Amino acid sequence: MISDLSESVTRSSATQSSATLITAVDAVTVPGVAATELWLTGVQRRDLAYLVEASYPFEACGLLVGSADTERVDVQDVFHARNLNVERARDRFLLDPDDHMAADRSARARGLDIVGIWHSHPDHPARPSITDLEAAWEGFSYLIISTTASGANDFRSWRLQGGKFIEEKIRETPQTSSSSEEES
Amino acid sequence: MSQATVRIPTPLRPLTGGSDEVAAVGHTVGEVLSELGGRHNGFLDRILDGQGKLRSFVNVYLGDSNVRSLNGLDSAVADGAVIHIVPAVAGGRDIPGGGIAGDDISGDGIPGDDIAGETR
Ligand SMILES: [Zn+2]
Repeated sequence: MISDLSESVTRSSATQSSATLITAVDAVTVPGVAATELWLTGVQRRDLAYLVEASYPFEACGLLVGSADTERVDVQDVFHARNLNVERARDRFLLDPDDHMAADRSARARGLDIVGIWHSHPDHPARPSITDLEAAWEGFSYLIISTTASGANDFRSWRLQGGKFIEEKIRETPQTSSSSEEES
Repeated sequence: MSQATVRIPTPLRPLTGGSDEVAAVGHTVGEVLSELGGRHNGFLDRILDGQGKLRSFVNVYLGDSNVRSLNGLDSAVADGAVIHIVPAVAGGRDIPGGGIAGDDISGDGIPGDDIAGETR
């Protein structure tokens, strides 16, 4: 549907704010890159629910591949990744960089990009934790899925901006019946 | 001197003028990154720490291999090599005690004790 995104970030002069903001990964202010909507298809949502429920009570994590511009993030593919944090798999995740790399390759081969990260919060609300904040990067959507023994129950998406997470809307991408033709 | 292509992840593109891919030269991964950093202000600071070592929250791949499993920043770069910068992605949830409805976290003894190795 939407293809090119690398061009949308041409506003380059992101000046480093001198303050050491929050974390090791200090925030770079990127004007115009904050997306406000994450678009998922119903199928992607069901796939995600399945993945987080199958991992319960442990955390599941993965990557969102698609395209993004200044207003919306369109997810094309959901990738499941291994959680390398085995010792604390109930409340921590460390996404396997090999899986990240594989998703990136697959994305770029299709002219797409890694646009976000998803992970589950077993028995916990779909709000970013301190740990999430400390590890977050600007420019990605962070989709968090709250899940309990009875299933995934809340999807929320967040973007890091100026050292804080701002919630973005999740919208349902209309399913095109036969092909994914442009409508515009 | 080898010419390499460096792939830039979304969060670092503001530092490369929006480019998702940049050409750079050097004999080693470290040299290639430094050469690139010399042209893009602020870039190197996100990748290397004060001692010039790779930051823990950044992974660098040379071809298919994480350079941590090779020779680190000293890994030799062949002409035409592709270097991927992969941001480390981590997180979790806050520790129990938040009084969340339906939480059965505390009922299981010490968190993280009985988990290793189990997969579902
Ligand atoms: Zn989290």
